[in-house]
Amino acid sequence: MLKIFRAVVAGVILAGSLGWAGCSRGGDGLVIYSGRNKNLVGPLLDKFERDTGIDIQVKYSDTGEALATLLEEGQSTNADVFLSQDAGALGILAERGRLVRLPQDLLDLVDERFRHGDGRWVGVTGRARVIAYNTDILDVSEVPDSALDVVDPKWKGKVGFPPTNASFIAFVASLREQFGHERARAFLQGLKDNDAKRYDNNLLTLDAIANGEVQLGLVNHYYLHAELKERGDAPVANHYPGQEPGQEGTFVNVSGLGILKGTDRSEDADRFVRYLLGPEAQAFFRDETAEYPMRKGVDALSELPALDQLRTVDIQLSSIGDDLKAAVQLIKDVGLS
Amino acid sequence: MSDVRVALAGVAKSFGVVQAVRPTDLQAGEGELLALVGPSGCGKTTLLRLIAGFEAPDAGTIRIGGCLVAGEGVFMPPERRRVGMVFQQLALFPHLDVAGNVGYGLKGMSRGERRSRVQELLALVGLEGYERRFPDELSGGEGQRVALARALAPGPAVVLLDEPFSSLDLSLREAVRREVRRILKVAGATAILVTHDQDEALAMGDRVAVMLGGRISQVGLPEEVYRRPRDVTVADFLGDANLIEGDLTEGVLHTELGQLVPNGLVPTGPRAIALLRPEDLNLELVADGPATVVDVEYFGHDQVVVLRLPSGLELRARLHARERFPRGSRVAVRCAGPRVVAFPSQAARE
Amino acid sequence: MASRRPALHRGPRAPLVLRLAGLGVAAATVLPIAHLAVRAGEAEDAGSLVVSPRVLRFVWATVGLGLTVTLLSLVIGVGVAWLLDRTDIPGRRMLAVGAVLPLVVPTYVGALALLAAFGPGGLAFELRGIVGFWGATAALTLSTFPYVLLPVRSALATADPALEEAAQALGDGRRTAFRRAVLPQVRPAAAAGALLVFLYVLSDFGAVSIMRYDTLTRGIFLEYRSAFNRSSAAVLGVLLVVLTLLALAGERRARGRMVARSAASSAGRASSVTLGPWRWPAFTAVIALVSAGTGLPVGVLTYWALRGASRADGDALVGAVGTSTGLSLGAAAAAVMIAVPVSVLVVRHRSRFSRIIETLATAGYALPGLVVALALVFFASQYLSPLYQTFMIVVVAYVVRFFPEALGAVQSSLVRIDPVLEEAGRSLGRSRLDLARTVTVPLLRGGLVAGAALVFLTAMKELPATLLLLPAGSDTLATLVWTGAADGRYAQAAPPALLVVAISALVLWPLDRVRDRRPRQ
Repeated sequence: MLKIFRAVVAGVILAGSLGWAGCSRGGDGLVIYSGRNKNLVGPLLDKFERDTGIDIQVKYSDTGEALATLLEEGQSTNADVFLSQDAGALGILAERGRLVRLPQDLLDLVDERFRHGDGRWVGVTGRARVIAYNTDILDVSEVPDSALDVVDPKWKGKVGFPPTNASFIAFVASLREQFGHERARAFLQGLKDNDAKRYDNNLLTLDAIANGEVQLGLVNHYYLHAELKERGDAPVANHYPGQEPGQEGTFVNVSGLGILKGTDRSEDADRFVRYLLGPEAQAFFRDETAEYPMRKGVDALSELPALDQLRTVDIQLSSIGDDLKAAVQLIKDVGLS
Repeated sequence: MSDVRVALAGVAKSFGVVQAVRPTDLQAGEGELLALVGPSGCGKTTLLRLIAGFEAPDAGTIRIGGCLVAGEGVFMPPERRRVGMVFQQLALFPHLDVAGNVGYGLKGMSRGERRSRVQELLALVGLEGYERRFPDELSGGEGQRVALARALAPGPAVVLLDEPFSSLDLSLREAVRREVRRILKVAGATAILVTHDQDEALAMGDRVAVMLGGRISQVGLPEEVYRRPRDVTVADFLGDANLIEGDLTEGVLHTELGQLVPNGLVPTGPRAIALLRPEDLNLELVADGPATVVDVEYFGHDQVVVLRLPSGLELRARLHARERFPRGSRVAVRCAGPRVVAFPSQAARE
Repeated sequence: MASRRPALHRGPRAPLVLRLAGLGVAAATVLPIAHLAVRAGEAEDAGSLVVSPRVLRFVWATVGLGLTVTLLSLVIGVGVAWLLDRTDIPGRRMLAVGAVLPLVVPTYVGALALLAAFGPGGLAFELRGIVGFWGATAALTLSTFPYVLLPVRSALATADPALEEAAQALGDGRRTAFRRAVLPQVRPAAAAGALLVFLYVLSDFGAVSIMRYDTLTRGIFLEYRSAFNRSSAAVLGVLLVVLTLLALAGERRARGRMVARSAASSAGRASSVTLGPWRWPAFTAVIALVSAGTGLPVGVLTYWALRGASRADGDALVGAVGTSTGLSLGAAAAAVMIAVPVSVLVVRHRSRFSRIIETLATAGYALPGLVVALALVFFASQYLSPLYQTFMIVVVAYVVRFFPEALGAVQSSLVRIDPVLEEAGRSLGRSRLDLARTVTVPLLRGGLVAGAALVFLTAMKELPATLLLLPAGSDTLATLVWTGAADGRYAQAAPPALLVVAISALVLWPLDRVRDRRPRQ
């Protein structure tokens, strides 16, 4: 028993010394808060370190949690760069004046639709909101052409969607913008009345489609590629909705990044942003995560509809903040979250 | 009491509104075994805990071995008072063996010194060879002796025993009592024994202090407090007491049992109460005797006969077991001697 | 039982060290609560939010789930404890370890496993209605009933069988004897365990998110994660704190008088009930429970590991084993070390002060990890910057979150040590500190080990606070699981999850031995 106790004491001392050893601040390299999964960006960041010789420290978490951390830390944050899974979180930081304006030549690499109006953040990759469907059950011809059609009674209980996912919320915001508040509400109410199944995130929605729990669902396009990578036989495919005139179009959200005010490594941060928007990194995203590269002139995967061919939703991502709040409220009001 | 070991002067202690100990003086002399007896809730345990240092007095001073340990702004914690304590529940350390328990209080000794001191004490309490046993392997009496050895080991200025025998079987109790008294005497220890059992107090104490309602009512030799209690309550508490009221005229008390002569201090006033211990009464079977036998409690070595007098008063008489007093028979009652202890009548009604 | 001294009046005041320890712990828990209150104050619509039908629905759902899981955990926990300690059930030792193992399965893993097995298109068969309330109830009950089982077993082990026998001698049947003589003795332990279960359910995000059941904690996470609205999140957090305080008051009533008994009394081993024809059915029932709680998740994880194409990074795993184990050991040790003085304060110096300390120290348990983590992010980054982003602050977060587990275990152990032993020691000339070392701590051993083990197990699977507070560039097993699972790479997520289970099982094995041993060596 005494042995156990001693071991525990030793553990404390060990943890303590680890703690102090780990408390090197200051000369610790470029600090990146990443709301994007390590699997998605880790290899690229390692390569950045090797290519540039710049030390980086990456803190991975969920985008919302990373944002909350930055807000709590305030001016005393250690972070130099915020790599976000979606535009909304970047918008909030920009709104609070926490991001520096990026150099114009950098901004010019990316289509105006996919960056902040005042240049506080820039999109790195794009993901389209699609209808994914189970290929064992449905033929592509049966899949609705518009996301709004999934509220048709014939899909009762057969649709899955992630009401709390940030991209879905942004999608609702875009509906609201295009067709007005009431139409957006009617769509959400329709989902509810149609017994659409709610999932915690895109991935679980896609899993549910793959195992036949639902027949189709509203997700981001690139989860399909992750799922197929993990399970080559998963019976799922994507359909890009809203392509006909008068329809909602395909909503494209971005992952992006911004440089935090007060950084003491603006040069390294600048190089980092350039690196992620460089042809090599953009090709990496295309090949590894199947997202749309944001740099003009880098093509998407050939099996995806090209971004400039796609009828996308015309919405200012940069000023989406208030719309997002309204969309969240709408989703809550209808009782979907 | 040439050399005072423990001295309490004006010690008082309250818990909230409850006055557990009213201002109290008490002394125990070198090598003396003082029995502190009283009914439960009388404050005797609190008094003991005050001496031990587990409570701080509200007023008064406590000296142990001439050294002020509490009062006058001083409060010495228990561990510095050189007080050995034997607890009601024994409180042996369950994770230590007998040697570990006995040696627990031996500080600043070499291993060898310690071992020989433990041996010495185990020999004193008659438990040689028990060193490696654990408390849960001891009988009640053995545990008692280990607890005593442990308390004695550091050579305390005073040993405090808090109801140490109450958890023992009745059959064991008397033997252990005798043994504990022997050990304390051999060790020459000053000791204060707290008990609610008057027989225990009378049998063990060199002196007996009777504590009632938070104050010491009487201190004295056992036969003193038993034969000559200071008042009715003390009389009543220490053993069976037959109390008979009567008219007092010219130093003679006229009672239902006849004329009694109060001994020593004679109460004033028209009426007084006489104390007659059960063993002070003699009975005789007489066909038209005034008293009736109501009940007989048979103890083997003796018996207690419960009588009812014509007035309805019940008396208890302790007699040899040889003579038989059938229930319902009539008896005549006589006092063994004419001289009795008497108290003023008012005291009885208080 | 020996008559008790007036324990309420023991000593004029608790020693300064104890009071400081208590204040320190309370301050650590008040920190996140105060932080929540400040953030909630920033919400423009706090008032209307609190009374909105949606939030009321959350509150109702949270209470409903909490009570259901607590009730089921009590029934299962007390029942299994009785089977293990008072009957001739076969395979007792193996079942004893197995029955506690579900504790080490992270609730999100347990819930995913339930879905994988019994969900739509599941590996086994489909149970209708598994998603939602019943799924969340099943997942949480399976992973929390050991919180009741553990303390009740140790209470049963020291319960005085004489009372039980006395009750039987007085003509009660075994069943009645159990109800009248045993249950009252295990009541404080069961109530303490039930409180942990209830608070754990309040704080859980894993199971409810997988099972899509809307509780306050899920609401809080959603405000942060999808609405990016920290002040609404804080309003929900304050509601959670209120629920917690109500639960604590409820537990205090249910606990009844603590049954204290002399540690020195040598109660014999209780006679065991002969199950007769029920022996094997009872065995099967416990095995089924263990299978659902541990076997199923382990099976599903193994299936994922084999099926998927992704692979876990070996070096990262090795590093994470070290980090997880070090952090969890550190948290376990720190928690029990602090729990000793706080328990002494709470048990030996009962007063309004100590009751408040106890309440506050327990309240932290119901706070979601994210809330604790963000509060520490705020305070550490503003006022303790040398500590911020170090392992130390992670240990602090674990201690704040899981301290009640240590406190409960140490406290219920301390209650069973007769305070007269400490007086005996002091009258023998030993100082308080000396006495703590030579008597109290050795006698508390069972509680210390149990408390440390609980904290260790819970810390091993902790995710939200770990993610936010861990120094950049390090990983624990839990963060590796998250990295894989959040990206759908289940084969990558499975090995670290299996390692969490394996390491925790290694910790549980000696725990059960220590428990069974007698107080001395």
